[in-house]
Amino acid sequence: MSDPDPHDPVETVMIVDDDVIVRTAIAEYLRTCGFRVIEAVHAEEAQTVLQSDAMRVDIVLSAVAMRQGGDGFELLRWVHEHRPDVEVVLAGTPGRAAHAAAELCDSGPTLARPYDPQLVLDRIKRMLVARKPRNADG
Amino acid sequence: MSQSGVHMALNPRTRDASAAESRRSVVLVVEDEVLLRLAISETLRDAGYHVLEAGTSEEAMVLLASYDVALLFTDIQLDGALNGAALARLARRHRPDVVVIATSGAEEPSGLDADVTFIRKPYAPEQIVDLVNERLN
Repeated sequence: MSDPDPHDPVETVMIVDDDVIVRTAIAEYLRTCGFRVIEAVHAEEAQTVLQSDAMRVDIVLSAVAMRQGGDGFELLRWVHEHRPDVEVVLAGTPGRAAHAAAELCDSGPTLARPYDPQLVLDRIKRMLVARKPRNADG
Repeated sequence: MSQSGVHMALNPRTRDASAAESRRSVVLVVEDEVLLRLAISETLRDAGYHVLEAGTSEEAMVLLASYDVALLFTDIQLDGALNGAALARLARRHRPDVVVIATSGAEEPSGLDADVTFIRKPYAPEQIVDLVNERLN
């Protein structure tokens, strides 16, 4: 990976979500509409990326509730304090994340939604159902 | 290579966007150091691969169950229930034809399957692209 180029026209979105199914689906949607996408498993990883010079980050799209490494509100406060140049969008549910991603696509590099965000959400729901372990109660 | 598991129940409107995606081999990168995972993943994407990222072995298992992964690139030392060697064995059980490349800052661990390629850290991300190209072609 080369050094970040401040003139690089590709906007970079960092998605922060500890649910791998949601994070992967939203990340792929954003990549399809032309963004460079960084995936962070939790807020601590997001802070590590934002503190490093590894890659320029323009926008952070974060889940609100996360099981470890701080929640979305803490990340929002941290970014405001340490990286006020970076925009933060919080999404409390996968549906809100999909719609926030679609809105980013509308103003992103390709100026078009690659497909309806509802399809992203439908896919996330199917995969979440498939992942759900069977419990003793059936 | 069939990647039917990647895009399920495609709506016709999604097909064009997904068609190019589905022709590319899926590489799963499992690494708990975010900056390293980012560097490898971006370099592999620039080389044309469809890259999935996992920060833990649990995330990796979810992705292996949900996507048609052609190659697993995993760190041996991982947080969570499984280390990379155990993850590789489980991945093989689930998907016998998956190609595995393992990495570690330590010596190559004993017990890796004979056809697992091992590369010791530190490495340049470009070396990983060469290895992936070699194993998938």
